[in-house]
Amino acid sequence: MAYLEFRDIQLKFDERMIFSDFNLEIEQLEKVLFCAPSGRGKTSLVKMLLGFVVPDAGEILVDGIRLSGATVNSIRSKISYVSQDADIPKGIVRDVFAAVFKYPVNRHVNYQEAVLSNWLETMALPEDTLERNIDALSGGERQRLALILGILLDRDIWVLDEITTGLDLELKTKMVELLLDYDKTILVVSHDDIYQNRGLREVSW
Amino acid sequence: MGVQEIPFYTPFYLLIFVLPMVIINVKLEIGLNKRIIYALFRMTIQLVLVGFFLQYIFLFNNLWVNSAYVLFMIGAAGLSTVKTCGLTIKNQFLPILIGFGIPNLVMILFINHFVIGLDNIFDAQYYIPLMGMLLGNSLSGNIIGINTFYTGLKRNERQYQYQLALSANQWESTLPWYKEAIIACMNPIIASTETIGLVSLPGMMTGQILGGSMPMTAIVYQIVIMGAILISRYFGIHFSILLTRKQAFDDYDRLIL
Repeated sequence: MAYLEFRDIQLKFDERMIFSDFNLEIEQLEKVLFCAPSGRGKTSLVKMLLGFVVPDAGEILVDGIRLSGATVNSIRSKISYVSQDADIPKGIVRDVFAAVFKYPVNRHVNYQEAVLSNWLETMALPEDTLERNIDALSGGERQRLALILGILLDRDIWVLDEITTGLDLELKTKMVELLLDYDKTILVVSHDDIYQNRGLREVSW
Repeated sequence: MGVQEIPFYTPFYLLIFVLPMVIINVKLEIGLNKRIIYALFRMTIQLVLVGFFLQYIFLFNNLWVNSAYVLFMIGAAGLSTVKTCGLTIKNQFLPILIGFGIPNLVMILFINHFVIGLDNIFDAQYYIPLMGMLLGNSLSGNIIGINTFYTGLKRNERQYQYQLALSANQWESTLPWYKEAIIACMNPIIASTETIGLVSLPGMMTGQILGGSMPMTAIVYQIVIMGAILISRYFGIHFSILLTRKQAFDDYDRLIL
């Protein structure tokens, strides 16, 4: 059995059929690029995996567990989700990070602020970002913070939804290389050519 | 020192001043005439009907009749909340009813028994008008609070979902908007509590003084009612959100309002 499975998925949005009898299997540690044309529901697909969009029919299995109201929390806890909107909770960066690692599900992660500081440097973020308010950061800065958060959570599945938008080529390349180097099951939603020829399995529909 | 009785026809003398208002509105094309006249008309009819009704209720002054009237007030306030906030009547009427019915009932009975020290805590003279004041305030607070909570959550759905993805539970994920709702609900009442008496005498005090009470007596009542309003409004909004949210989310913690 595959690690991630979408079985006979059907999804309608405002009477428009987005998915009908959609099937997809993804193996553990596989790196997949969803590159279907706009409007085909790439984001909806990953949101289905997270239980934010529920299909009209079909089922989703994560590591053999069927996604349902009863299992959604444990499945979400396996996924690091970083989206283009990077809607990080409001507050001072330091406090926001500390709060996330205080949630019971995340307590097993050994989080230290020093690690975060190192990551700020890696991601070309100024040192004083720690003391800054999320609201005062630019979209690109928030996005990189969300990525750091995603990495630090150390979950098995990474869902990266259009995370390179708005970043310059140098930073983008660095980030993509860094991310794809991890031994994780990685699902990328993107139109960016930056992912080409990096050994990702391309999935379109 | 009782209040001077007003004959039924003299309130209509005020219409002398409404006439120039109407003329000015016509001349300047301020489109308010219809609404002003409708409001005055409706207010008069409504109050006269309530007046007749209350006369009888005061005449009986029976625990069950009084309580039935109070329940009617709670029901009307609940309905108004559900409608104004765009909640579904089918699912959310009862939670709202309980949510702010209970704190207000507890508060009114507490005041009547412990603060005023009535022998009959269901005495219409206290029970009904004081409950009316509590409910009226709770109602506006509830509408502000519930609206703030659910519209805030809806508008920031992505942020909410991101919190869930970070494994915050539903309560933790909604906490920013919950707090916002409590603050929005309490802000107006805190402001009016702070400044009361400086600008104008509050309605209840005015009424009592007109009715012949000494100002100090009226003041003490006013202090009690202001405190009670503040308290019941606070607990009312907590209860209302806590009870409505049970049916506002699906199994996947998605907002389904």
